[in-house]
Amino acid sequence: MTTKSLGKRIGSLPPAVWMIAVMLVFYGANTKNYFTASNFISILIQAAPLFVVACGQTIIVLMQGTDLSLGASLNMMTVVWVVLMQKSLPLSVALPLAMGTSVLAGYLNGLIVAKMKLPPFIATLGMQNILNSVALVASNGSSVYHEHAIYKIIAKSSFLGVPYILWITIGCFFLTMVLLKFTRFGARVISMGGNPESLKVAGYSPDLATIQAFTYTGFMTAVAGFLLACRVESGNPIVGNGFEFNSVAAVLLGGTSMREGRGGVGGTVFGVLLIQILKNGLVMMNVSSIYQTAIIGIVVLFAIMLDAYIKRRQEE
Amino acid sequence: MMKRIGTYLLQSKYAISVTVLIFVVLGASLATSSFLTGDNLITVLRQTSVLFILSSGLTAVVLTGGIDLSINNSAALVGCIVAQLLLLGVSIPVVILAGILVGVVIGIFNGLLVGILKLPPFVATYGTNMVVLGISTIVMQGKVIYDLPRNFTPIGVGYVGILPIPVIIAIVLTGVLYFVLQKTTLGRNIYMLGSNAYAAKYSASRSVLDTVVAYVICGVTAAIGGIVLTARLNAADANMGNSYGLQIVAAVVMGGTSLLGGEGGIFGTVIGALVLTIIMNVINVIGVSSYLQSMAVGIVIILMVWLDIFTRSKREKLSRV
Repeated sequence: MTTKSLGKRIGSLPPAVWMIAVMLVFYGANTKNYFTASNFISILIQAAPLFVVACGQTIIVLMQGTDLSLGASLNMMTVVWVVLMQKSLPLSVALPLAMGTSVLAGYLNGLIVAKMKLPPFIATLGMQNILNSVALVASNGSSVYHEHAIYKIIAKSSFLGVPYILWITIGCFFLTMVLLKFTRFGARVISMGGNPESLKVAGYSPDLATIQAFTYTGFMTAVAGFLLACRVESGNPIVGNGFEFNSVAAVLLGGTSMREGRGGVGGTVFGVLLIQILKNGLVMMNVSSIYQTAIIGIVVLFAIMLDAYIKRRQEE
Repeated sequence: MMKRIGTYLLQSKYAISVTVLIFVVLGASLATSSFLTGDNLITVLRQTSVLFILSSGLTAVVLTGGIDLSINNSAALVGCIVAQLLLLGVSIPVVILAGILVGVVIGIFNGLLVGILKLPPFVATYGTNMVVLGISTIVMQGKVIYDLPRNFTPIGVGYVGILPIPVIIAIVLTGVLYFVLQKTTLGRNIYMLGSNAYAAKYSASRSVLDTVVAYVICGVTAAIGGIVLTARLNAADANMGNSYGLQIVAAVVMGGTSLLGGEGGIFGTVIGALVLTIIMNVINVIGVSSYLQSMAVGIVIILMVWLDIFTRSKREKLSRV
């Protein structure tokens, strides 16, 4: 390998990778016991719901869209699930029903974008308001609780030394990767981002691919809602707020482009880790929660700006 | 006959918005006996003017084909800063100027993100929205401020004659924005940016400048809205912009300004703000859970954007024939 190709390789890494490196050095130098296994496992567990949501978001961004209803969909799913369990429905009924609401929301997003031709961001922004309404009505505006063993099993117990929550996350990663790389659905999604005309020429319906993609994203959100509710052991009508933007940010930082159908779920891993490592480090450094929203927002926005700047330079 | 009316509705700029307004007013007077009372109408007008002030500048941004999703939290940030300055005893004119300056800065920032870095406007401004919310939280240190100085609150609750002061501010803003958008070169450029006729006539650097100015207009009206809102609530809180989020966009879209850019105008936004406020008012008066208001806004915006896209494609077919 020549030095030039090495330089090129580093240059083509998603920006998230070297920002993570910078952050690890900074936090390692400024906090005690940073490089411990338990700290990194807790980062991974905290990152799990965002990562699963971001798997779905990756597919939408590949199609040149965005789904801004994901956070609200998480809110709704956690609330509906716990409320159904409060009504003494068994887990085996309550969980699929609650997950079904998120899948349905995704399907509706797909219909609105594909058939009514709305730009994805405005369709999903409208859906965000609708789903938040459902979450607030179902929970009456505050957290809902119901004792159940499932929370601790998912969030705390392990299989082969790895917590269940991470097994499910890994499963979602491989499912999304296989769908994108090895199925016709994946090929259609990627060609929609790159060259939608070719799709029509080949006789595929772009509408169908859009609906499938949003529905799959709804399913990923449902899984993420399940993990999130297990982690906070409750249903909460605002617990998912911010996931919609953080997931878009994670996808962009992971190198998936909004323009030419390039990228994939592998890069998204780094985007999510970047956001979670940033958050975790602020907690480790005892930064007051009053400052956290602003710091995270500024760093994420800065990273997106830097990414856009680098891409423009490369284009010129 | 029906077909003629249909064609007219398709071609006229505000026809659909006005039709919706008439139906909403009729529906509201039938649904609640108290809608057409003087007190309630004044309340509706006052609420409309706050929503209108917040969304007036957005009209300019949407005309360029962009969007600004940072208005609600920018208004909240201005409100928080204004409240803190007032508590420090700074004089009211200085406080208002400072608030508007904050709006200008946010506008420049958004404009640069969109104009120079070419970020998709909704990504850039959604990000700004999170950042300004974070800054508001820092400004307030997690607290809420009540009881602002007596001579500040009239901006939100006072009257001149029979007209509430927010209504007067809204009327003045309508005039100013009408003039800027319809009678100046800047206004024509803003329309052209949205209809892609721009590239033929001007340089890229000029287009960046016009984009930034559109976002600055939006930031300034967001700031004025924040000041009026704070005065009306007689309180400031980092989350005070929350409920306005999508309503602001909905008011513009409801008024017939196309999200695709280049079509619409400030009078549409007046109508849009009115329609939306009346819907909210009815939901309040008939005692449906206020949690459902946001669902109503969500449905309204999806339907209105669909209607816009649908009528645009019909019109294009008509003009081809």
